[in-house]
Amino acid sequence: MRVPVWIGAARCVSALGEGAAAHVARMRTGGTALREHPGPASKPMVMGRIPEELLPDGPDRIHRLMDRCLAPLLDEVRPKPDERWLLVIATAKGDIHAMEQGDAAASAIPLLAEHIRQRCGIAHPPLTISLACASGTAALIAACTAIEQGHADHAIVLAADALSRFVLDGFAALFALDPGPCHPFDAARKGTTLGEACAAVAVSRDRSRMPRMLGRWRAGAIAHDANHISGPSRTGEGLLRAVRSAMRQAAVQPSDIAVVNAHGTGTDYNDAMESIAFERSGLGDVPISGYKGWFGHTLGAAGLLETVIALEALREGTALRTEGFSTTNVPGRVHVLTNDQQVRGNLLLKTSSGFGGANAAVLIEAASA
Amino acid sequence: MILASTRYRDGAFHSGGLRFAVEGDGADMKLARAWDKLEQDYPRFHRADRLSRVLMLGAAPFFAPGGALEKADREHIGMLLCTSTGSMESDHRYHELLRTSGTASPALFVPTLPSIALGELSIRHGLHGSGLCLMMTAPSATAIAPAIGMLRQQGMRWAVCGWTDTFAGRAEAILAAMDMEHAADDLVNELQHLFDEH
Repeated sequence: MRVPVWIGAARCVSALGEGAAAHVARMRTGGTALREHPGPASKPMVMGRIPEELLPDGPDRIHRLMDRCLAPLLDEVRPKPDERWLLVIATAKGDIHAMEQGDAAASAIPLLAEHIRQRCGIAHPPLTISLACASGTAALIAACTAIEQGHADHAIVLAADALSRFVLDGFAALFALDPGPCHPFDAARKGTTLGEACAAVAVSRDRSRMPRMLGRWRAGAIAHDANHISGPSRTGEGLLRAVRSAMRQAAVQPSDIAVVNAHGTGTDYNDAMESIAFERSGLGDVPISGYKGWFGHTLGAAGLLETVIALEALREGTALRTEGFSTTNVPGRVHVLTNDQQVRGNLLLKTSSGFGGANAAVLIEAASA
Repeated sequence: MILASTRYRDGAFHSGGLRFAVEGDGADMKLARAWDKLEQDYPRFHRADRLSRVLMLGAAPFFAPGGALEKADREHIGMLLCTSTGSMESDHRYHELLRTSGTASPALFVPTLPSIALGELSIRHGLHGSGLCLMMTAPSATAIAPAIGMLRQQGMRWAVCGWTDTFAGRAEAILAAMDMEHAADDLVNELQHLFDEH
C-alpha cells in the first residue's frame, strides 16, 4: 500500500504573471507573453522575460526569482523544527550570472542550494537536482518518492532558472531558437523561445498540512535515451520508457489519463520525438497541451511550472490550448489542443525531456476545485 | 550491496585488483593515459567534456568483461552522479570563448549541463534506466538516500553511483557498482563507508 502524497501551496512566476490561477486566467483570455527584449549585444530577441515589478529586490536574478515563490510558500506552510522536511531544488544553470560577472566560484550550484536551505530552516541537506530541462519534473519525482519511502514527511520543491547571455547565446549557436514566439508541435515550428521562471510547491503525506491542495501524487519515472547528447531519440525510447514506467507504477491505462502536458519546445526534433513516444505509449487520442508558446522554455523550472498550471486548469476540468499551434506535421499521431477543452477525468501526465537524453514523466490526480 | 568500486584521483586509479598511476601534463593528459591503460576502444571518450570523461573512466571496469555489471540488464541500471563543481570547468571554457571572441560554441555549450555526464555514460553502455545528477558540497550517502530510494522504486536493480568532481586542473571519482536489491539502509551505509575512506 503506497503512502498518499499531497501536492499544494503552489507558487509560480513567469513572464505571463504570478500565481497558478493568474496564469490560467491569462492563458484563457490573453495572448503570449513572449516579446522582443534587448538580448546579447543589445540585439533584439524574443524571449519570456519576467517584468521587473513582479520580482523583489535582491542581489541577483536567480535569487530574486526564487524568493518571489519561496517567501510566500514558507509563510504559508511554516516548516517546524520537529517535523521531517526535505528540500528539493531543481535548476539547470543556477546562478550562472555570477560567472558572467567574473565570479566563477559564486556560480557553484551547491552554494545557491545551501543559501536556500538556510532560508527554509530545514536541517536535512537539500537534494539539488540538475537534470537539464527535465530538472523540475525530476525534482517532483524525487520529493514525492522520498515521502512515499519514508525519508521525509513533507518536502518543499523549488525549481528556477533565469535568462542569461550564457544560455541565450548557447541556444542561438545551436540554431535552436525560433526568431519569433515558438510554435510547439506546429508545422511552422522553427525552434524554441527561451524564458525564465520559478515554481514551488509543498508536498506532504499529511493532507491537513497542505494548504491550497493542487493534487495527489500517483507515480513518476525517469529514463534515458542512451542515444545522443544534444538530440532526442528518433524513436522516443527514453520518453516511452519513462511514461510506461509511471503508468505501470500507478496501474493506469492510457484511457485513464485526462490530459498530457508535453515538453513541447517547438524544435523540430523534440516535438517529433514526443509525438512518436506518445503514440507508442497508446496516448494518440488523449488531449495534449504544450505551454512554452505562452512564456517560453524556462529550462530547469519548466517541468514544475507547467505541472502547477496544468493541475490548476484540470482542477476545473479544463485542458488549455497550445499557444502557437494550428496545424501539425509531427510524425506520431497526437491530439494537440487548438482550443481550451473540457476533459473527462482528473489525471495529468506531465513529461519533460532534456539534453543528455534525460526524460521524466509524472502522473498526478488534480484536486477538486 | 557494493559489487565493485573505483577510485581515481589525478592519475591514480584503483578498481578491484587493478591499480596503476599515470603521469601527464594536466588532468586531460592523465585521463587520456588512464583510459588507454584500460584498453577501451571508444574514441568518443576523447571528445567528451572532462566531467563525462572522469565518470566514464571510473565506470569502465564495471562493464568490462568479468566486471560487476557486465551481464546486468541495461534497462535496469540506474545512475546517481554526485558532484560539487559539476560543469563549472565546461562553463568556464564556454564563457571565456564567448567573452573574448563574442562567439558561442555549440560544442562547448552542451556540456555546460552537469547531467551531460549521465548522458555520455548512458550512451557508452546503452543504459536506459533512471538517473539523477545531484549537486552537493561534499560526497554524502546520507544526503542522497532519498535518491537511492527513488531508483529502487523505479525498478532499478543495479546502479552506478558515486562522486565525481573536476575543476582547476584536478579530476577525481569515487564510484560504486551497486546491487540495489538489498535493504536501503545497508546500501546507504556501504556507500557512506566508501566515501569516508576517501
